[in-house]
Formats: sequence, structure tokens, C-alpha cells
Amino acid sequence: MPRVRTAKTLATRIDLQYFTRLHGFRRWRLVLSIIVPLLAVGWLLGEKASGNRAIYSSGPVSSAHAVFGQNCNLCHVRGASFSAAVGDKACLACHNAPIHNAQQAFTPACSSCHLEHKGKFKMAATTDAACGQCHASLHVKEGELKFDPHVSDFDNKHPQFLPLRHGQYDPGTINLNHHAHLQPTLRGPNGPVQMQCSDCHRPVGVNQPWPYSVAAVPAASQQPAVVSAAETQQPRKRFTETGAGPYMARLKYVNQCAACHILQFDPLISQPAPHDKPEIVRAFIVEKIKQLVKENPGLVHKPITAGYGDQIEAARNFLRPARDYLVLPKAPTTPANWAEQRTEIAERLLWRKDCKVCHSQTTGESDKLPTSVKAVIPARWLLHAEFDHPAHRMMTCESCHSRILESRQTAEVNLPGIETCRRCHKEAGAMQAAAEGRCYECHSYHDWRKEQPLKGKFDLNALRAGN
Amino acid sequence: MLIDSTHRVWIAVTMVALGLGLVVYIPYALVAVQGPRGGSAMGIVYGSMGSALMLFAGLLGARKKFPVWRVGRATSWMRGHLWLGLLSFPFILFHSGFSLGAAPLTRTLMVLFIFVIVSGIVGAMLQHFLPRVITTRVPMETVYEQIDHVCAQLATEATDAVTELLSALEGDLEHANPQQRAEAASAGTMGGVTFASAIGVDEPFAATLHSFFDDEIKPYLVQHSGRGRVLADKERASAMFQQFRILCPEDSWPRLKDLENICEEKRELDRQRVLHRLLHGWLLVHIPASYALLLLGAVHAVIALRY
Repeated sequence: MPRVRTAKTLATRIDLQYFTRLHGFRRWRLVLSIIVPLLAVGWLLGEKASGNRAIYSSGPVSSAHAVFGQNCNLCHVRGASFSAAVGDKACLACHNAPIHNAQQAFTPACSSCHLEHKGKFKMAATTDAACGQCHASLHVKEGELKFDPHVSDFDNKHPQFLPLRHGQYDPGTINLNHHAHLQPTLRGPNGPVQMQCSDCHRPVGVNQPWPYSVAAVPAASQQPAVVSAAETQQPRKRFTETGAGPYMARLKYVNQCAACHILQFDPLISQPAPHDKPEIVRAFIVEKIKQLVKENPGLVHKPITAGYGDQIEAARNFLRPARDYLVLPKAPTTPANWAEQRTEIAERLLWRKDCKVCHSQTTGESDKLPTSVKAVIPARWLLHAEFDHPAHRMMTCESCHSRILESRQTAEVNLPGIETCRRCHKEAGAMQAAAEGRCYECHSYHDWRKEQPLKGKFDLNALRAGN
Repeated sequence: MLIDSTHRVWIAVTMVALGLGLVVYIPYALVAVQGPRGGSAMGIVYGSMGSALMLFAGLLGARKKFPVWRVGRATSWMRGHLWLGLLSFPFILFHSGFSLGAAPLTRTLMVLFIFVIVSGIVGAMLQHFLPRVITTRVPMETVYEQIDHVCAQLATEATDAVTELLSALEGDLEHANPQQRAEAASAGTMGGVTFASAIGVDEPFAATLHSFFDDEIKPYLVQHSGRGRVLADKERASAMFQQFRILCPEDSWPRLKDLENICEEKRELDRQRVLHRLLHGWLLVHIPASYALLLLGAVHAVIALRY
């Protein structure tokens, strides 16, 4: 009989009780279904037994908090409720972080802006969305809104810097012509010079001699040439990489101007007049000229312009546009009279020529001292933002201050515009091969000037518990 | 499970839910202060929805354990498992903000979840295509769990066939067919033993066949997988049996055909075994990983909601 394969014969082959026993495949499925979850539980229990809670943590804490990173309860304060989420109270225990503005309509929770458990992530590096919670549609509790109400990012929605907006000008009262100062044939104390920006502008804290300070003219003045500690910079120092402060040192006559703009008041007296109030200058001149006559009695018999040479004519020409000719006094007769007339010439040259080069002033009547307009040189232009010059030291000054070579008027604001910043700073930052462009790069939410000193709350044992 | 037009409703529901989830996610991701995070309110909503979908998908196992439950048809549960389980993945991605997470637990969860989803997708594809392949390529299909049992029966059957064939070839009338017996009747006896005629007896061939059975057929039938054996190759097996047919008397051909048929059935059963492993092997990853995922997911939910 040949082999016949029918449904019936096939059916008889099957062991009808086969499903009551676990076949290898099903057995493995069952075993793995038990073992794998058990392994998972074992992993959790093992970590718990070893005291490691990092497996639940969304990441290592920031460097600043790493010292108590294992002590979860320090921030995750367990109260009566189920939740142990970090509240503002935990942050404020160590950080007295003043609010942004008294008129702000909304105060976010600390952890909504400062995200912890991101490893070496800088906690101050808040997202623009955090700032945009208010600034994308700004409202104030009361009073007038003073800022652009729709600023949500730097790339597109940030307004031009305030000093560069229409109608704004440099409020400085010192006449300065950048164009003239940057010419290659400028007359320096020892011949022609090509001035560099850094000859006058340097970040605070760079303790190197100023090339055009009084120190470059030893006999000129006894005033210090370097910036004193008291002058070093104000706010919270964010950048310490270079040792220099973020802003430029305040411009001072003794540091930046004295070497070229010497206040020599008499050709026979080498010591220049002090850069001070007119009454002090006058007293200094009177004393020096009296001393000159006393030491050189023969001068009385010489012309009152002795030693001046061409300077008198130069002064005449200089003053001519103002129709204020330098009228020479009559020939002196006594030493006192000589000194008085010599002092008058010196003062008129100073008040009406040397001082006026930089200072706007009222000359007043002949016997009265001039009144100078108070010198104002803005040290910081962006009052609501921070800028760090040393961080930009790889670039030439002109690459950002692009109009400086053409600037002839003090009133011209030579601050780089936002479009210059946007060439490097972009919202996406390093992800777009660009510099950081988020709000926090320039702006600080907390007004640290209002920071109050804090009293510590934890002892070492509490801080290091868990380590 | 065949993914056909009967899945249309489930696919539509899944796509609509995914679209809604996406429509809400995009503005949420754009305005979220710290970016989309699992801990934000929206993140928790997405996480809860994803977990619910995962839990529903996990209930399929319970539904299978208790088939008498009147909670919908098994096929509906299967379709729901497939599509809602798949939907849970984007919802969990929305929950995490498309991040694997930084904590070892969350990373493990995401890796497990990816394992579960990928194994599930692979499984669904296999379940869609392989049954038809099995039907085509394994006509002699049997119950998978009974393959070893059937193979043992095939070995017995082959042994019987060979014994009968050899007996005839060696002149044992007890196993001779009627024609042989008729011929043998005219041949006479010697020493009390009746021999078949010279035409029916072929001892050298019988020895060859015996050897072939012992060396090739029997080990192949007994062996769990016939891999490496000559008979595992259909072409070579066919050629070999063809040679035996040339050497063997024509009246033995039906038995040889039986042997060849038995080997063919074994080949198919081996093929079925391989295809079955493919068809269900992914479950060895999918199911245990799913249980671990649900367990760790529950721990994650409690810890995350607390801290």
C-alpha cells in the first residue's frame, strides 16, 4: 500500500493533550516574561540598597550644586503632601535673588527658568521663552510702559539699541574728534604718532601705563597714571577670564590726554598747569609767575612776551574767529606789574585756547574765571544690558565701531548697532556655528544691586549628607 | 494578523489622535519656557496618555489569558493593541520632548520602549506576510508544538517502510509482495527456508539501501533540524532517490516513493519550524520587554510626579 496522507491520518498523529504541556517556545516566553521584569525590579532594589538615587535623577546637578548633589532632601524638601518638588523657598535659602522690576506683572518660580539636573549646564543660561513669558507681551502692574512690549528673541524681535535710535545723540560735553585723533600724522609728544584705539580705551583692570598719560611727560604732573582700585568697576563681574573688567576704563585727562594736550601756560615755566578747577589753576599760575620774576628779576626789563616767540601770533590767529584778539598789555614797570600782565596773557591763552580745545565754557568778563560745562563722558551706553569687551578681544575695534574713523563730532554715537551683534550672535548659538544669542547673554533678570547678604543655614554635615 | 481593510477604522482613529497630539505639541514646544519636558503640565498630560495607551496594549495579554471575558472580540483587541500601542510611541516622544532622558531609569525606559515598538512592528509585518508564505511553502504543515512528535512518527514510518523493502530484497517472503510470492512459489526451498526467485532478490542493493537508511534517512528524520544533511536539500535528495530507483526493482518503487515522501515531509516540517520561529520569535523580546516597561514605567511615574 502506498503511503496515503489524508486529514484523518494527519489528525491521528497529533497528541490531543499537547497544549496542556508547555512547549519549549512557550516555556521560554514565560520564563523570559518573569525573568526580565524581575531583573528590572532587582536593578531598582540593588540601586536602592547601595543608596544610589541617581537612577531616578534626570541628570547630574550643576557644578555649583554638585557639593550637595547626593543630598536630594536639601532642595526636594518633603512636606506633608506627596510632592517633594523644589519650591522657591529651597532656592532662596541660599540665593537672595532680587526680582527684576518692581512693576513686573508676573514673577515666575525659580525652577521655571533655572533648570537643574542638566549637568555642567550653566543654570543662568535661561531660555528666551523664560524671558518671553513677560517680554513677548509686556505689561506692568501700574504706570507707563517704558520698554518695547514685544521682544521675544534677539534674532528678529529685539529693537535697535536705545542710544542708536532716531533722535539720540552722545550727551558727552568733551569735544572730541575721533577722525582727527586717528590720523597717521598726528603730533605726539615726541613727534608724529599713529594712535590706536587702545591708547585711550582699555578695559578696567589692565594695569599698563597709558602712552599719553602724565607719566609720559615726567615733569608735567604728579597725578597718578594708573587707574586706582577705587575706580575699578562696578557691577557684578561676570567675566573673569582675562582679568579685565567688561567695560572700558573711564577716560581721564591725566591718563589719556596729558602727554599731548600739555597745559603749559608760560614758555619760561616748564611745569604745566594742573588740570583742575579754574580757581586752582589761577592760583597755580599766579604763584609760578611770581616765583619766576622773583628768581629772574631781569625779566622785568624784557618785553612782556619774552619767550613766547610765535605762540603769541598763533594764539592771535586761533582766537581771531571769535573776534577776541589777544591784546597785549602795556609795558610793565614793576616786577608785580610784570607778573600781573604775564599772568593775564597766560590765563587768556589757557582759558580761550587750551581749555576750549576740549571744554565748552563761558569765558565771562575779563577779570572773572570761566565756567566750564561739567565734563560728561558716558562710561556705559547700554544700561539694561551687559557687554564684555575682553570677550571680543580677537576682533579689531573698527570691525564693530565701524564709523569711528569718520566720526568728527562728539554728539555722534559710535556704538555698534544691533545688526553688527547679529552677525555673530544668533539665537541658536553654537548649534548654528554662532555665538550665544539668547537673552541671558546680555541681560540679567535679577537686579543684583538689590541683593541682600544672606546668613548661612546649613552646617557641613547637612550639606554633605549622602556623600 | 493580516493588516487589511478591516483595520481602516483603527488606522483612521490612530491618525486623527496623532494629528491632534501633534497640533497641540507644536505650539507647546515653541512656547514652553524650558522647552518640552516630561515634568511640565503638557508633558504630564502626554505621558499619562501614552501610559494609558501602553497599558491598554498590555491588557491584550490578559484578554488572551481569559478568552471567555465578554469584553470585545479578540480580533478587535488585537487591532487595538497594534494601533493604539503604536500610537503610544509618539505620545511618549511628545512627553519626553523627543529626548531619551538623562536619568538611567528614563533612558532604560526609552530603550525598552523602542525595543517593544520595533519588535512589535517587526512582529506585525511578519504576522502579515509569513502565514501566507507558510501556507505556500509548507503544505504539510502541522501543529508547531507537535513537529517533534510528528517527526518521530515519520522516523517510525520510514523504518517500517525500509524494513519491508529490505525484507523483500533479501528474500524474506514474510515481507514480500504477492508477485514476489508467486514467483517464489516456483523457485522451491532449501534447508526448510523458502527463497524468492533470483529476480526478486538483490542482496548488494539491499545492503546499500540499508546503509543509506542508517546513515542518512534515519539520522535526518531523528535529527531536530536536518541542516547539513544531504536529504535536507530537495534537489540532492531527489537525485539520490532517482539513483535508487534505477538500481532497485520496479516493484519496490512505491516504497522508495514513500521514503522520499517522508523525507519531503520532514523537510517541510523543518521549514515550518524555521518560519514559525520567525513568526513568533519576536514575542520573546516583545512580551518580556513590555512587562518590564510597564513595571519600570509605573515606578518612573510615581517618582517623577513626586519630585
